[in-house]
Amino acid sequence: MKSIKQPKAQKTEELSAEKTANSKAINRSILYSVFVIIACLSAGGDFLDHWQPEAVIPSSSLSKRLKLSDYLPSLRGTRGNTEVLLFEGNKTGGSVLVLGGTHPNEPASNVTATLLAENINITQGRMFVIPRANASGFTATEPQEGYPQQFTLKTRNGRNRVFRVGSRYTNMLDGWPDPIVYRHYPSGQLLSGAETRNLNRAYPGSEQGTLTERIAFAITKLVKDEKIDMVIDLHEAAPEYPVINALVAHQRAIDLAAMVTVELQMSDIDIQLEVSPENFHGLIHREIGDFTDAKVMLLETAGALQGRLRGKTNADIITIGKDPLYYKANQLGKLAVDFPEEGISIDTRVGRHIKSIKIICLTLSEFEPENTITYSNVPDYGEIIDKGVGFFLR
Amino acid sequence: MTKSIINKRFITHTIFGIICLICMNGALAADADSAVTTAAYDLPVLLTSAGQAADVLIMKGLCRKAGLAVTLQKSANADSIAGFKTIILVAGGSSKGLGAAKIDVGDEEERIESMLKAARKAKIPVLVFHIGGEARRGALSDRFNKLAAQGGTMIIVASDGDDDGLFKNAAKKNKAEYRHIKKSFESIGVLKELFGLE
Repeated sequence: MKSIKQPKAQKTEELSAEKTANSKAINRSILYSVFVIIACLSAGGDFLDHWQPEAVIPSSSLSKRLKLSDYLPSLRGTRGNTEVLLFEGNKTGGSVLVLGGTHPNEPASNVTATLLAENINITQGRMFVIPRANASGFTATEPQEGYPQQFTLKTRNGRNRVFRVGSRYTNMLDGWPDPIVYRHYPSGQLLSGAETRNLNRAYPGSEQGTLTERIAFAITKLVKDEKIDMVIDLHEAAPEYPVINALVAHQRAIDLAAMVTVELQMSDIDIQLEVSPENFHGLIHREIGDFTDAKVMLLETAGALQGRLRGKTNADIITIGKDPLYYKANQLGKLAVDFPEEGISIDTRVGRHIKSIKIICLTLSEFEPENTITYSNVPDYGEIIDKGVGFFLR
Repeated sequence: MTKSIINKRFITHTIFGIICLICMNGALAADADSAVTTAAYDLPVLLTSAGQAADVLIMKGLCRKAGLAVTLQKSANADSIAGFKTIILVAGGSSKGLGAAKIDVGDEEERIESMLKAARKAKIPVLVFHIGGEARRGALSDRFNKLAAQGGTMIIVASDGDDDGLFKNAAKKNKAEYRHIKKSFESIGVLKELFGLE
């Protein structure tokens, strides 16, 4: 009897142990699930945070807050519907459009446009500023690049002003899937598929096209409708890229650009002049130059974040701009610019862009007095270097 | 009697006045002559490129800044130099520039050679400027740099564009004047000096 009873008791014990194990497993699963849900919510929160544009606080000289959808209504409700800030002087003069954030992974571009918008006091002419030309590109970082999501600059009030880092391209969610080959409209030029989401390969744009093509179309239409005289597009590029610390100009702007180059060199700013290639389509300086009456210039400064040789990729590489690997590459003579040990800070990069914009406006006024632009309160290169970019942000 | 004295005085003063005017004119003419003689090179000036780099456009800006009127012909040839008294040749190659001009390296070399030959024949001085620094050195640029250096009456090189002495040695060989400037914009001062534009 004993021998029969024993297995029953044993079975009961086994069942009870199994039950306990199962219950533990369920508890563990619940715990893991809760952990995963918390992690997802946290990451999702960060992800969704990236979709909220940070505020630009324009100067009191602002006359109108426009949107790109004012030039192409189909952009309304999309992530491409970016803000267009118009600053207008009391006296008639020239019209200039400044584009920041064409490539949202080139931070000095967005910060320069923001600094300009937050300080300018315009007295003659009109200045349109678009701080985030490809607003969709600001809603995601670039896969596999390890970019920081954001960086901060300390303002004069001691506030940490946050700027987000985006992708070179329009958010994949706004253009999925990429074609294998991108056919540029209207030239028919073929480029790799991902370039279909590159705003600076999409000009003059297409009214019925992809989001990127529609953004380009709206900017081209703004230039036509507002009779813009000068378009300035701000960029950053890898220190090993040959077109660096450069001004690229459409052939109609080349005399003016040559003079700007001389003036910048005389101000001890090392810069080279490049003529917009006639057969490379989609670029702003080629297409807006060809399709509108505006003169177009593109400015490049050297940012380690864009480079292939960079080391640790965090917010410091954007703000301090220091990178020991680039310094080494410079010592080996492998770079297109001088990359010092202390790096190329965002103050230097933004300072260069601001100085260039100022000289372009001044030279435009000299060459075409009817298109004079006068303004005040925009800091000079030296002031930006001395006090830091953040000092001039609100 | 009084009338004749007045007349004599009038005549004397008039003669004195005329002499003074002649002297002043002479002095002014001498001044003008000295201004002309300080200019080592004469107008009109043809500005052209050896290698089709964008530096020729920057040079146009530098000339404008110096107050020197120039005619830019990026691809000037032996025929187009007629009527010019000075040629400014900006050395430095660019494959993009050659592409934009729709010519190849060989065409460009041929054009430079024939233009320099015609300039020598017509005794038109050639000022060679290399303002692009090290970036306008290397295999492509040096094909044009060497040609330009051989034909220069005077060679001006900016920054680190002549670390290996290519231009300096060519100038020595051809007994051409050579100048090194630290920054390209110092060309403004050189141009003012050479064309007497101070």
